[in-house]
Amino acid sequence: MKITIRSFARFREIFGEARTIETTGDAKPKNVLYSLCEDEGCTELLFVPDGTLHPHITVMLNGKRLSARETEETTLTAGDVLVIYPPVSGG
Amino acid sequence: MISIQKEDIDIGSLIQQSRDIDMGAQVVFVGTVRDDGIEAIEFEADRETAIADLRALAAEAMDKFGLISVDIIHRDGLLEKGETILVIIAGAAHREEGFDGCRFIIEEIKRYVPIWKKDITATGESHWHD
Repeated sequence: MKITIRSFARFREIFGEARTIETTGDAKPKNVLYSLCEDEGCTELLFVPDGTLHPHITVMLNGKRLSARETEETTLTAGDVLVIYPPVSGG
Repeated sequence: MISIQKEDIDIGSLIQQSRDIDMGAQVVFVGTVRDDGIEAIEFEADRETAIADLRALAAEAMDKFGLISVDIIHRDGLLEKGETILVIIAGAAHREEGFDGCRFIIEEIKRYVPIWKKDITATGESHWHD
């Protein structure tokens, strides 16, 4: 199935503004993002050495922010849109 | 008013528009581009989510601090030194609520609202803020 990954700012320059990727039917957001980072050779960008998502990264699924636990447990479905935010710095 | 815009902000007009006779205080925060040896700052936002976040934040601040009104306008795009980045106006019956509410809003914006800034130097180099 296909899902879309969008990113902004520093992450947009690495992963692109939006890309559609093919995943398996039981894919979880964290696993998908780990594979994405492996493909780009930059796992340290989103993940700490123990394999958990960096706490300052925000992951959204279809416009809703996910907790770290939700990134590991939520099953993606076709057409889902994952968004990854680097640390914010507005104001 | 809640907005993310490229255009400059008419702060005086915004203050007048948000004023209400129930207010005893309007606390105004203005964020500007400081000369840190840079040429400009480029702002990028996830506009849809950022606007939704700012609206929710304004409502939360009004509820939490008893504010009468909240206006938040954030710029995006390329801003030069001295330009206005952000204006927050917290309208309150008393100054304490206004100061507390305004401080709460700016800290929360910096904590989670999806807006990013990238420094641009005179030589054209750039780097994103973390």
